[in-house]
Amino acid sequence: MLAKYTVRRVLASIPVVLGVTVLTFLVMHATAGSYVPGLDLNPYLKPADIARIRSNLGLDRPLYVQYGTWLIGIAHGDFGRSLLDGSPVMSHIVERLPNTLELTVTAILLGVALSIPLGVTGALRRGGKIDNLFTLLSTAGFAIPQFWLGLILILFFSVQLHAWRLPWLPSGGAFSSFNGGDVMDRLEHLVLPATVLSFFYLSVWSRFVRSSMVEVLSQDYVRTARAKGMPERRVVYVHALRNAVVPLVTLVGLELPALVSGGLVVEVVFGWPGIGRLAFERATQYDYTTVMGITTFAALLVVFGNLLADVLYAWLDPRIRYA
Amino acid sequence: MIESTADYELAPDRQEIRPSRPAQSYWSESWERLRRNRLGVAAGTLIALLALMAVAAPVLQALVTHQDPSRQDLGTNFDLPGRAHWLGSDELGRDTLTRLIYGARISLGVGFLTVAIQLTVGAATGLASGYYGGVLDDVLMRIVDVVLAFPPIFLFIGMSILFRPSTVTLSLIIASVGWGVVARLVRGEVLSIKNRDFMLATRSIGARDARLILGHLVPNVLPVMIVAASLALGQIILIEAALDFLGLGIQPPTPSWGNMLTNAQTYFVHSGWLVIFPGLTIFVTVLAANLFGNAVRDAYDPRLR
Amino acid sequence: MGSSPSADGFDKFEEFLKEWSRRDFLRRMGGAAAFTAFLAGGLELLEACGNGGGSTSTATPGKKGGHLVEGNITDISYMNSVLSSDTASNTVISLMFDGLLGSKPNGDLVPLIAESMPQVSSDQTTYTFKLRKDVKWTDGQQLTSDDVLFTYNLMFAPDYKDVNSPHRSDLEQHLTGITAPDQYTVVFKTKGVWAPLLALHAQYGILPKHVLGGLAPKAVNTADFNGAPTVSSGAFKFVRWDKGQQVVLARNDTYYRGAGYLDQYVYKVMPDSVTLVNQMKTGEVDFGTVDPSLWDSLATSDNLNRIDPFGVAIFTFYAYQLDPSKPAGRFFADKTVRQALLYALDRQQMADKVYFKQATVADSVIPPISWAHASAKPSYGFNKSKAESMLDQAGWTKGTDGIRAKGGVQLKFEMITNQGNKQRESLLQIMQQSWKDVGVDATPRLIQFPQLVTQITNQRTFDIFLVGFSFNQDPDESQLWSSTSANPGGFNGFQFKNPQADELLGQAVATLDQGKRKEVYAKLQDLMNEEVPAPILLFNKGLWAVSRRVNAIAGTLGPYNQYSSRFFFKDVWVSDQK
Repeated sequence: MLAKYTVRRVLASIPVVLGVTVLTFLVMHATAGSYVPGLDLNPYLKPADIARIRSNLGLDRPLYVQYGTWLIGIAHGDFGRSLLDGSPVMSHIVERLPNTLELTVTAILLGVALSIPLGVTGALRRGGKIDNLFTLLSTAGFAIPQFWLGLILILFFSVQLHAWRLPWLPSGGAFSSFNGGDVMDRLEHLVLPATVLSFFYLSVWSRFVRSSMVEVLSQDYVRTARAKGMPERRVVYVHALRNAVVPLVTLVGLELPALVSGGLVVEVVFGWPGIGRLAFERATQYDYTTVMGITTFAALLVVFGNLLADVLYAWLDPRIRYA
Repeated sequence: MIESTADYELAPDRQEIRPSRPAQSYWSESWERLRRNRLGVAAGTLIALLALMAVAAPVLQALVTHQDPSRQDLGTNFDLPGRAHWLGSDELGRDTLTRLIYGARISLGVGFLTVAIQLTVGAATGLASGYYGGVLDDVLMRIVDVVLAFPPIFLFIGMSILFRPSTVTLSLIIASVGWGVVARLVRGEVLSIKNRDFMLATRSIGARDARLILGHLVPNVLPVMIVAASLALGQIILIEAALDFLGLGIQPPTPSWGNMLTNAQTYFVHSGWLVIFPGLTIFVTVLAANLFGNAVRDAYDPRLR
Repeated sequence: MGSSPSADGFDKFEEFLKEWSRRDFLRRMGGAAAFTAFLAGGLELLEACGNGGGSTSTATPGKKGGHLVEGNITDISYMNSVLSSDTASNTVISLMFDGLLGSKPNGDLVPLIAESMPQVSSDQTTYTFKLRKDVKWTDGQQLTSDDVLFTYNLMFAPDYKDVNSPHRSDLEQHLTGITAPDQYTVVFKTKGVWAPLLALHAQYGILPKHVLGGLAPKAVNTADFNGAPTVSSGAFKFVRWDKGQQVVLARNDTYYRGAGYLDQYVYKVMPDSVTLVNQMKTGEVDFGTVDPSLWDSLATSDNLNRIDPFGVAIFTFYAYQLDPSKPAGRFFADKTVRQALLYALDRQQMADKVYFKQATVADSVIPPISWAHASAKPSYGFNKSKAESMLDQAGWTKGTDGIRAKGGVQLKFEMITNQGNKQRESLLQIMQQSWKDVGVDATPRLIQFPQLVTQITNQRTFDIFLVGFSFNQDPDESQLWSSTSANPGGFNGFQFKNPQADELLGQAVATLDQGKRKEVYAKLQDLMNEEVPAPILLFNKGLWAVSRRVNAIAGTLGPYNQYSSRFFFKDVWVSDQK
């Protein structure tokens, strides 16, 4: 039964992914005009060359032919080559995706790790000064524009500390250009961007943990445990916390699409060689194949994530399978 | 105060004593709770004032600041706050204060309009999908899936090229990404309400679809929508600022808080203080929107009772 | 090439090491120490600190070792000279692949792979290049005329039409053939006398035939070599490309002009100019361009030296729509209107405020650093009252709302430029203000870059566009001004069609005599100054900053080799050897 449900869901996902690719394709071509990726305002470019290259790249064929060719390629697992630099699209994705994941996963982990203590403390001292302070801070936390926060942090922790001859953090990139690449080096480069990205998660989740914790603490079983004489610490951290945190898992799960594209602004501010920035740069330069490749990939991730969640739910709750 | 035994009742299975109170509707009770939340009220008032300022921008400009938002004065560019320019001037000598006032029109305008569109379209979809079910539900939800799986950045880029970014087009673009969440939420609520007794009862006495939907479903779905909308305003203002940062939003010379901040950042090393005012304005506005949103949610969320 | 003290000293050192076991000696003493020890006897002492920014390239022998990080805001595309047309790729290519000729900072051509400047026949249509016999690829193979012929055939031979080379049309138009009579000779034959040939087409990095020769034409576009060159002949060789962040190159020890000093060269990409300056301040980047607004702030930097700004062959200009079928075309058909609008602009203020004084007001269509430059009169200095009277004369009288009108039509139009360039955005807004002051209603509009390209080359529904172009050392600008360029796809999107201009442009390239060319260009500049179809606003300056630990860059960087012809980087060295 579960298998049948899974198959049904997989089949239902296919039109979704296709829909995404068609939409991307149409949006790009609707705005492209006769622009050829990579051939810009260089007065030495001749019309005949531009036209010829455009034709060689297949950009003058009817839209349905172009889309069809691409689709056939995808069916064979071939994401094609970038129109801007000729490299395989997969090579771009494979090389840059880990950088993005490094950033977003760290930010999420930071968010989770910090939001739990913050939320719990707020819940325990509900209504008190600490709670109000945390509430204010977390509300402030997601009122700051990310790009602004990033710049301020760079200017202080990187440029200014360096000017004062104190230990300073790198201002951009994922690793040092020279003699870099080891774990410590990468961590150094990760600190600032991950902090900026996690700010948002931290703010939202700490409030969520707090309200979830408050709800759990007012439940009967908690009252029972207290009445039984269980030490408060055990009540809170063993019983209440476990139940309060479970819904947080759902929230974190909802961030799956953001794993790939959520860090875009941070990636741009810090020059992070991630896939979000790649998507943005290539989209503005009309590198169709790369953009289509990334969209497909991202859509597959989202769909797969949803599928996984739905299948898990179905496995846990038999009522859904038979719906 | 407990005056007499008639003033209180014993809950049957609990040891608590509660003073009795007159029956109140969900709406008026929620409104009371909101009013009592002082921080929330303050925040809401601030937003209202900013909105008023945005609407009255030309009046303010003529009577208070006496500066044209697009008037350049290259001789006084990068001016510090002073008599000529109360909050200083930007790289072309334009008055920062006046531009911030006009910028509110874009930033707040996009904020409110986007929320309105998202809620309307999302609710309509969710209601139709949940109520009618069947093929309509499948098709609509698949569309929602596509929209939610679509990396927003491509939509923003494509749209900002197809349509000249203005308050209206930008609102449509940002809303096009967010309405899916509302649709799903509303649909979920509708599904859980649809088969409740009061609905079956109403239908059994012959009420038509429209009456059922508008008269009964919508009021019951509204609380969830309010909760969804409560934090949206702040987020949308930030999204608009981020789009300006990426070059996809409102283009200069039209001022918006986002593009003023992005502009200032380019000249940060030259005149660092330029980023203070647009940044602060965005921060305070979003903060107020979030605080007000929290207060609204605390007051109206049926699940937090 | 290569009779400089450092190169000589190095050659001697190499020979010295061949007798001793190289590895042992260097290992025991450390490369630089060994070199110093060897040189201490007769040559100049090595300076421990960086030079101040004005010394010449080869005065002090350098220390071997260390790395250099160059920062830029544009990413590379193809590392293949036949396919690339953007400056970022060309910069990196020129570090790895030398061409027949290269450029000096001032634009003079110097022979690189060619052993001397080509011999030109008396009818000036045949160019004979004799190649050096000591150029080797990094895999040991000899570079011969086969490679040169192969590289040019990719761009010229009919068989290779499927190769996406943006250089083909020009070569097909002007060349009759390319031949290689022997292993070290290449001959180019042109259809007629054509002056720009060498500057335009003799600098392409030569590609290895033994690596790419076997590929089908289509496959050349997608060859792995384009993203990871396996062999090179230039000062550096490819190590790896960390996509999205940087390209890493290493010293080519078998470089025919002598092995350089740097162990590694890194080309790092970042999203904007503010980030670039920040990274230069922290030392994460050693060398890069500086945005005009940040130039002054670097004066007091303690780890960066600013290279004296030099004029570059880049100019910012705006163009009037001259197509009579377009609405704005009817405004601008009148020369008086075009000139008047130019008088209404305070260009000096633009240079001062928008470019922070790092630009010069244009007085001609040819950049002042070019040998063909001649100041044209009048110079269109800011003159608001003259602008107003000229517009009145032309029949455009101010209405009650302050906007001029003629025959019921208001002088109202839109100006476009690309989003993302702060200076151009500011310029448009200043132009709007200046023209408003004389009663003209001009609205700025920012569009995305690809849309701007399409507008200029094809759509052409604009009223006025503002843009910047970059030219190389040959003063030929027919791509902008000739009537053939007004055809769809060309950059004369504003449809300037002037038979006299066409004739002058043609005459100027039909002779190799620089003196004669200069005379023709003088006439052309006067004509363009009179017609002003697309007034040049400003000539930009090249603003570069370099870390103090880097030597031998200042003085070697100039307008015509700042983004190309980087063969001279072999002489760059760092004083801390890190």
